[in-house]
Amino acid sequence: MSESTYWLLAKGMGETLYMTFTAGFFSFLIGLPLGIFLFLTRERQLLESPGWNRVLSFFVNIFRSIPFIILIVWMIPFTRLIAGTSIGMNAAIVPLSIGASPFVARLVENSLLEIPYGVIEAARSMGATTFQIIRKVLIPEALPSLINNASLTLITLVGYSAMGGAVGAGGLGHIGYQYGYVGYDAFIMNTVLILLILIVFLIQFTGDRLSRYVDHRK
Amino acid sequence: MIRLENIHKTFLKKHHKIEALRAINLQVDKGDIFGIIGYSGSGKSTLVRTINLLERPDKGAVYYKDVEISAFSENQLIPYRHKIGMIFQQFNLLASATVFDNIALPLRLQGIDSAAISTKVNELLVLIGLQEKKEDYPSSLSGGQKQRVAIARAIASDPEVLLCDEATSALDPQTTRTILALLQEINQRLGITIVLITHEIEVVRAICNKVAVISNGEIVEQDSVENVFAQPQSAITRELLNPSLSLHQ
Repeated sequence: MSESTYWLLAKGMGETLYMTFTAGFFSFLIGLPLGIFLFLTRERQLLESPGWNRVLSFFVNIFRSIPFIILIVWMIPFTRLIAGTSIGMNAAIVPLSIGASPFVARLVENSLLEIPYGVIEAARSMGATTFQIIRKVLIPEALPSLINNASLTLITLVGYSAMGGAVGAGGLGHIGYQYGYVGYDAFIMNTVLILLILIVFLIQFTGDRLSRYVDHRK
Repeated sequence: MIRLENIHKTFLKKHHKIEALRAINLQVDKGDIFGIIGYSGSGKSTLVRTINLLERPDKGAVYYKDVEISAFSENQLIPYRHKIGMIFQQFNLLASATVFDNIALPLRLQGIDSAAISTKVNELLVLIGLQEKKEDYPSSLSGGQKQRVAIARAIASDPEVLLCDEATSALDPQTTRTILALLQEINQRLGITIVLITHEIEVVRAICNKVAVISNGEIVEQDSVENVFAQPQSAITRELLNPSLSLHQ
């Protein structure tokens, strides 16, 4: 491998990791509170509200129905507003975060549903406020499952970020497309694939280890 | 100490009304171990939850020391909930927290400083005899040990009342006896009034001084344990006292 190819791939890998983790961070920043709210407004839960639940659920479903490649294009005006530009790595983070956050919200909601209702009831009987229940009961009890869902989200974002190549986001996906699909350089294309697989395995491995470390249920 | 006046509660299940509680009147005095007994589906779980208002009645009033707490909002109820501890059939401990942290939870919710919490929790660990399990997680404990931790957690904020929702129903007879002995000790040594609900007459016989029999959401009998055992007034009570004749087994 020539030195220039090496640096090309290293740069691509760095860009993919940057996009994945930054978008992962922002999608949890939006998706976590959204998921908690979806959970709390459900029937028999602390902030039970069929109206709010339906409205929120509606928007989450809409955003989850839009194919990511279309979301990127559809969101261009908004992306320009937030990132100042509609092309490049930082611009891609906007649709990546927005695209993943409804997905995260649903995952968070499902994690919270695994908590036995009695545990929440016990906290209420102690005089815990809703906010205290979120902080001291819901999040710690769901943590192993939330970590698993974070790995799932990050892995999905690795794939999505490759599509970001469409808006000149860079990253391994862009290199694979440019040199592999367009330029037909089999070596670079295969190396890109191996690197993507490596990233996915690494995220899964770390996530599993972390989740097991904080899981005291068994 | 606790007075329930004309409590009604109806649940809507799939467009189908279920009257869980009907015209319940009940009085628990300080120092009582008050048993509420009934078969499953009789409404006793709902009844015990109206005392700390985990379930709000549709009609009627709940008084705690002559204060009508059923008129309060969730936030106004917080100081009262500190005074009314509760334990459950399924223990409901935090799986993610150690024994120490589980018992400390109600104190942390009240913002008590960590030195005071540590002293209090260690005292409670001695009371329940689980000092050496302090750093263990609930998953490594037996059912009886979990219920002991739950009891310690429920009395950590020095409540005046302890509600027990089928606290021994998930335990074997041997463990049930040790848990009942612990409840009795808490009642006598710490002066905590206990309200317990159960479907086992043996539990009432072992530690209660007063009993109410509930059936189909109504209290059919309410008196001292001696009177009820000596002269049961209702058919349900006679059936509960003599389970060998019962079809509910």
